[in-house]
Amino acid sequence: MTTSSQTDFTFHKDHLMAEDEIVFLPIDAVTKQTDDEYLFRFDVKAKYDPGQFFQCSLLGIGESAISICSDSEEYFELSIRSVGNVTSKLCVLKKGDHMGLRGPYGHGYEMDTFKGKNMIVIGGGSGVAPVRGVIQNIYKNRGHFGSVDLLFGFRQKSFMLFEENFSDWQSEDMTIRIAMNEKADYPNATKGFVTDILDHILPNKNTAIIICGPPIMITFVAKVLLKKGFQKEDIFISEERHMKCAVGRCGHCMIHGKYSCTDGPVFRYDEIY
Amino acid sequence: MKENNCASQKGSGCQCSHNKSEPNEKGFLLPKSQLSNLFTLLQEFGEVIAPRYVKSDEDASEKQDEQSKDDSNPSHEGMFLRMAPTENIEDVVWEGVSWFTSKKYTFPAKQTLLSFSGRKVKKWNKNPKKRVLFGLRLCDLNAFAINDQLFLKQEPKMPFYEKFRKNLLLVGFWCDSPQDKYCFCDSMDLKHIYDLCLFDKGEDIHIKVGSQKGEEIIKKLALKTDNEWREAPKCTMQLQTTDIKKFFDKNEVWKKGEKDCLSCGDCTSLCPTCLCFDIEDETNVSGTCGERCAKWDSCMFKDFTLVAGGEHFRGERIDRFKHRIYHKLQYFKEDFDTSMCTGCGRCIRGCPTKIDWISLINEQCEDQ
Ligand SMILES: Cc1cc2nc3c(=O)[nH]c(=O)nc-3n(C[C@H](O)[C@H](O)[C@H](O)COP(=O)(O)OP(=O)(O)OC[C@H]3O[C@@H](n4cnc5c(N)ncnc54)[C@H](O)[C@@H]3O)c2cc1C
Ligand code: SF4
Ligand code: SF4
Ligand code: FES
Repeated sequence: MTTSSQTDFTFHKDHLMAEDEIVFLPIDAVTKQTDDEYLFRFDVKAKYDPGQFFQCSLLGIGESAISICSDSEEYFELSIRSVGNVTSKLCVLKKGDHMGLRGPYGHGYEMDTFKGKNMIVIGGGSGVAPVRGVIQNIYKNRGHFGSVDLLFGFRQKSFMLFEENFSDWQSEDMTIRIAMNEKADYPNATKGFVTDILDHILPNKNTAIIICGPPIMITFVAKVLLKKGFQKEDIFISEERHMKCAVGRCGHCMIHGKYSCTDGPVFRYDEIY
Repeated sequence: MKENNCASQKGSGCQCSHNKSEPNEKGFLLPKSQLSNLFTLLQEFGEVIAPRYVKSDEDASEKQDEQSKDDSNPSHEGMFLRMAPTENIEDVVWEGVSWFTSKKYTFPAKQTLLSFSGRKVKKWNKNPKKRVLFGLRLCDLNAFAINDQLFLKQEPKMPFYEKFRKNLLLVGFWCDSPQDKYCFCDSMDLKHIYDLCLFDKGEDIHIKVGSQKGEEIIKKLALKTDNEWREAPKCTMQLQTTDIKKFFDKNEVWKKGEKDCLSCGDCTSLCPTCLCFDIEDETNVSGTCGERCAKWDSCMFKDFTLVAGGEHFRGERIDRFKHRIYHKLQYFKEDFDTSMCTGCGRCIRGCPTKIDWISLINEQCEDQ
């Protein structure tokens, strides 16, 4: 069991749920994001791709899959929404408390393959967290990408995530559009769903589209984009499923023959649809 | 006898035969009068688990107590043929399929992964009993190879599975004819996988050796060599194809089976290769110490795919019904090049409404 922070360390993945696999790390910072969401920061060097996830656990309570929402070799951040048994107990952890982690797991966004492309990043609700790592990566390597469009859907202002990053992203020539379906109480937000702010998006061969959000949102957004003439091969979606083992053994996360935990959670659209 | 050149034997704990070559005619001859000598040697290896009749209220994980022996019930009414600890060769039943599989001997229905006290974690590190599974049919023997694919032959391994598996000796009984009308093993591509396998030759038993482990035991008996070859039995039930990809959207046919499904999960619990599991923490009242356990689960249960927010990804029963069949015949093959079904027939034999999914597939073949 490792409890050190500030050190170089690798997570162990070679033994399924063995003692050296769950690592207890002290939380270095907690930020309240909304009434239900908290951002946890760990100042630990770790290698990961945006879109990968950790199994976050509390002994005696259980484990939950949580996406990494940062992009840095110096630290990582997790945005956790309190929705149930495990997440509600994770969300009351304070700075200095320890969180059990194993991972990072899964197949994330391979940012290198997007180099030279125009990027369209679409996030809905807490689905904005997993794509925030992608945006941070673009922000750091802005010269590698063409035009960048960010489209977010939230219920209303009080449910917004990562608003504090918006001005940075805009300063690096990324456009941000926001839809709010309950109350459009944020400057320039459109009343409606993300599908209502896709009008200006036109098909372009050299574009990668990244979508993360509730399953119903992904379905509708993909439908609209395909109708516009985008290719399935250009669309990358995050398919989150009930997960237990995170290593392709327990069967819970299967989508037909694919495992969301190891083949995904990020899939190219044509891999599963 | 062919050398056991199982590449995975080193380090993986895999000890059974994965001979690339099919076995030949060669083997050894054991007069039936000497069967008890073999049985004694097996008992020296470990606890012998063999098919015998067990009362429905008897604990089949325990040795048979004298009281539950009942000679006044020759038709075994109200009893199950089960794999259970067996002390006398006379109690072994040489015909019929055991109602349950032997999967719990590598993956118990509830298995501790780790225990904890505060933040101190201790991984499960027990050494399971050495056991001989005596009287497995070819279908159940093949199930071990399939489960090994998932839990041993890819990283990360399941440490507990490896430990249980290493301590098993697999002894087969060859089926000369199907055990009942639900068997369809000859439709599946089964391999000769065993440490030892017994073939009935009337007065004698022909024993094939499939591994080093098996050879070490046979060596001690100083038997004559013998030549014998048998084909797989011809089953009544025949699955016409395992290539079912093209039938996926034919819900009008799948519905004929699905409409009788109770989502009870009997089929998956009886299946020798269904080992999907849930992970749950169990604690003392104050929650300070406890265990994290893997427990058998089933894709036939609606909540298997439930996520926070209330969405079920296979909320419709027909999607679950198809998922089981497609996992067995198609999805597993895409990853491991072998079907996940061994043709043991338990999912139909044990289904409360006897849903015959084999006929549903055959019907679609005929429609083509
Ligand atoms: C790849 C992936 C990335 C995720 N990233 C995030 C994130 O960044 N932030 C965040 O807040 N949430 C994220 N989730 C969702 C999060 O895992 C679930 O909300 C959480 O597991 C719910 O657990 P619970 O015990 O609090 O809820 P309960 O409803 O009590 O859940 C009981 C059990 O069901 C399973 N389960 C329930 N909902 C989900 C779900 N949506 N996904 C997977 N398993 C589930 C879990 O195994 C859990 O132990 C992610 C899920 C996946 C699969
Ligand atoms: S045993 Fe039969 S009724 Fe029960 S879940 Fe399986 S197919 Fe359905
Ligand atoms: S059929 Fe269902 S329970 Fe059986 S292994 Fe496949 S997903 Fe798991
Ligand atoms: S979470 Fe267990 S198989 Fe994917």
